Amino acid sequence: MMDKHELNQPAPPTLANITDKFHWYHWLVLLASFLLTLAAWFVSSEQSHQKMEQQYKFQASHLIELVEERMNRYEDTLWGSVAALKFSDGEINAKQWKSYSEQLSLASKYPGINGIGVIYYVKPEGLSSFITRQQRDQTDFRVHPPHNKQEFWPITFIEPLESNRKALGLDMAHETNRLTAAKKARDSGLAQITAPIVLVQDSQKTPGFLFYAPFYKTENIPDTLDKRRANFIGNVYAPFIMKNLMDGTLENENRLLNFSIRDGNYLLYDELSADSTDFDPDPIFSEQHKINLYGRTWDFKIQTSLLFRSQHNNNQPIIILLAGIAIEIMLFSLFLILVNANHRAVSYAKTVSKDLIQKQEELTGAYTRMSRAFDTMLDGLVIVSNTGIILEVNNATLMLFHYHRDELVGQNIHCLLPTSSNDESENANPLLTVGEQRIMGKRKNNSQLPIHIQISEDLENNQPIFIGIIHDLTDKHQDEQRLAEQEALLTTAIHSSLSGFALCDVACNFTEINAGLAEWLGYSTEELIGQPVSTIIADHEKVQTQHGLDMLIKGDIESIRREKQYKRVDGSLVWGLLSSSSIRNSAGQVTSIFAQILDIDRAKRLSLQLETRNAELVRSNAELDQFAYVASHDLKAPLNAINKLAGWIEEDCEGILPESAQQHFELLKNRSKRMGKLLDDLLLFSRVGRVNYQVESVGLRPLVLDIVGLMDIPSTFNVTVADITLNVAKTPFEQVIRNLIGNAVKHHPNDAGNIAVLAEKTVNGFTLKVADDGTGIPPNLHDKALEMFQTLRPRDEVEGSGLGLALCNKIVEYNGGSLHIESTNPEFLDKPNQLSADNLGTTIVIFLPIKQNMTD
Amino acid sequence: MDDMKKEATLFLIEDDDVDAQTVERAFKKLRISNPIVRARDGVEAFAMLESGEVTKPFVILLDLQMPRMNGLEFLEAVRASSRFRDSVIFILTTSKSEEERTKAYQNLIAGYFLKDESGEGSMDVSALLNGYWKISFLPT
Repeated sequence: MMDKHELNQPAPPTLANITDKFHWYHWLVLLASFLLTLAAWFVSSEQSHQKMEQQYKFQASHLIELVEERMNRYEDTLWGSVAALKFSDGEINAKQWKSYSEQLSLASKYPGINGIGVIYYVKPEGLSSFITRQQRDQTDFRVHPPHNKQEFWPITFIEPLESNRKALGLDMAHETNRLTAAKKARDSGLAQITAPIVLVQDSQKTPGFLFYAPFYKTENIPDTLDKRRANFIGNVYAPFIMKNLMDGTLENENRLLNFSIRDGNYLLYDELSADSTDFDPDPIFSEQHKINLYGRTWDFKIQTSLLFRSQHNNNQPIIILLAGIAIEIMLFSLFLILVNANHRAVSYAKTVSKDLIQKQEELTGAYTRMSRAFDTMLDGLVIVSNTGIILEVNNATLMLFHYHRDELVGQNIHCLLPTSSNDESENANPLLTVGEQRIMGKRKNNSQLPIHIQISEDLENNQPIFIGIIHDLTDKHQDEQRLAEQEALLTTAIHSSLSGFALCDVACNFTEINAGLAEWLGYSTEELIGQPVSTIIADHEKVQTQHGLDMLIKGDIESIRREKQYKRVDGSLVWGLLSSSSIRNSAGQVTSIFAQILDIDRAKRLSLQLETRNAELVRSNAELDQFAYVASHDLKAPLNAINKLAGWIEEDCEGILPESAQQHFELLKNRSKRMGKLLDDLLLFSRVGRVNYQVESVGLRPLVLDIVGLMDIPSTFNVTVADITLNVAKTPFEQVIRNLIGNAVKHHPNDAGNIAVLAEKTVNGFTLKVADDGTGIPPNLHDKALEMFQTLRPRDEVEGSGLGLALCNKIVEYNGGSLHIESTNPEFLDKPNQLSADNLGTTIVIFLPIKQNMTD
Repeated sequence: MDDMKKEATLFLIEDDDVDAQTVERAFKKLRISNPIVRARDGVEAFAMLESGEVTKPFVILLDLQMPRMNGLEFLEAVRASSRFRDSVIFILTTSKSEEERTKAYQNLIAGYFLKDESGEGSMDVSALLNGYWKISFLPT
């Protein structure tokens, strides 16, 4: 899949990524074209070169020809002079020669020639006569320089004389080059030139040479060497300064070539130096030509000059090359444009086709999704042709009717309907009728089910088809029934409820109220609906109620639970427990307030009463305590004083009081002591329950034995104690045991007796029994024995305040327990022998509901 | 030693004549010669202290239940005064109240004695006082 991003935002076209898209043939054309350009350039350049070479060759040969021609002309001149000499038989004088040479007008006709002269061959024997003869015309003639050769070749005449005066009389024999060429001319009969020499008359000492032409005594040149030597007279000669010769010959201007001439190793003439005009240090062409000239070989080195270069500088190949490259570039650009355009076209085509593919995929996806959706639909879907043949069903339908797909598709729709309805509506098939209806369907196993079917019609290939959506009503049916039942139940519950129910709107007016609430307040339901809530609120509660309602409506709080006083129609107030909460719509806004009000009037009043009474009770208890305390103290002080005073009287009047008075004093002390005990017990009694003691684990045996030891009980009494550990509040428990054992001893008819302290743990607490083998208490007096200030025997017989058992009872009851009196079971005692019909014994049974550790 | 030491006074603060006599009888019985000065309540006692009627060295034997200013109130007043805060005070009372005993000790009493009905206890208290001031150096 092509990247969308790339499609929408093409990367900026760079040369690289466009040329990437070139095909091989683009490159081939470009390469071919380039090769063609190269070939054209090469051929053109070759042609140009050849043309130049031709030009050069022509020029070079022309140059050589010019030199040769000029030399030929000089030869001719020399031969002409030879002829002239012959004409005068070789005997001429200087004057004649001068005139002859002037006829030649050398300077104008033969530029480059330095002069023309005659050299006579003189044998040694004829030299002096020769000189003499010459000195007649030329007084200063002499032969020079001296040498030792046996022959003399003096320059005899030379014209123009002035410029060649130094040469006059110069003997050729003094120098090899001159002599050799002169001899060669003599011997060959041909014009000859010397090897390079420096002319004596050339002040610049530049290279030069001499040109000889021999003349003989004979008419023609003798045909053999001997004859030539025999007849030889001399040479006509011309001296040349090479530079002048060439200037004369070529006139060195606008020359396309430069050249040098060598004779052997001797450089005769040289234009090949940077001084020369148009010298090209890097010539296009350079050649050497060896030319044979009059007995010497001249070596021409000819090369092209700058002028040649500039004239023959042919731009054609370069132009061809450049033009070719330009065409390449244009071609390349053209390809770029074409390829790019092509690429765009291709990518556009790709985009279009990709869109098409994507759309097709989307379509396929949509179809798949639709199919899945149909299959995941909870409702059945069935597509039926106009002939009633099932074309398509979804999973829900299959599950609804318990079929497999293969069993349904292709079947007639009738198979989904009960036979009866099938028969009845054969022509008007309900499944081929557009609209909604509730009918019964038939499962594969022939069971029926209520369905709701919605049918719509459509066209497929111009054929009507029917699309049915089938909804299973089984659950809905049951749900509806259940809902109706619940609603009825709820309505009944609410309206028959003793609790009050009410609804109010956000304006705080009742919109709904149940009979219970209305009745409770003495209204009828109709009277209250539409009324403000404050109608039923007690006046002192109105502000708080309105505040609560506002908070609920604003949504600051969700619910209120509060005890509240309501105002009945007659103005009386009743207590109710309000539970109120806000009801929100789907948008979360509070639409109404629901309130449930329970009648707690009776309970509330009772509890208020109870509170009042409780407070009263607490106060009176406190008063009682205070009274008991003050009474015991205030009563005890004078009692003590009486007691003491009686004692002091006894002390002070010891021996003088009569017997009767002494007895009275005894009684007085006895009574006052009893009163003191009474007051102490009363104080103790009043204090029960004023202090809450912690429950602790106490060993019964050590506790009882301790108490017995402290109470100073006569040793005749046998006390047995169960070995058990109890959880009790130790201090009041000690008090109880002390009183009970004290009673047992105190009320025992004999001086000796048995006392047993037993304990037994139960599920709720424990039972404690204190048993004795005393007289016992008659059952009809059991209750009386527990009252305050009751004694069963005269106090003079048994001292007691009558508070002991009452105190025990009070302590036990205060701790939630119970106390009762029994006759002693003989099994309790170690020695039950004292028990008889008269001595039933007393057992005080105490139950205390304190949780015990059952493990020990 | 006796020559160097002035005999300590017993300052008895007691509203009940019988109780006061109990102490006096006990002193007599035990032949204790130290003088006894008596006040009937806290107000009188404080006045007597301030007037100089009672001079150092002395030991106070204080009852708690008294009219006008009871024993605890007197105790607090003494401990608050700069002159008498160093007084040695014993309590002799019928009150078995733990609360009162705690309060009394918080006010730095030297001992707390219970009166008994018979008066025998007073003999012990008197004997103790006699021993106490014989041995102890009292604030002067």
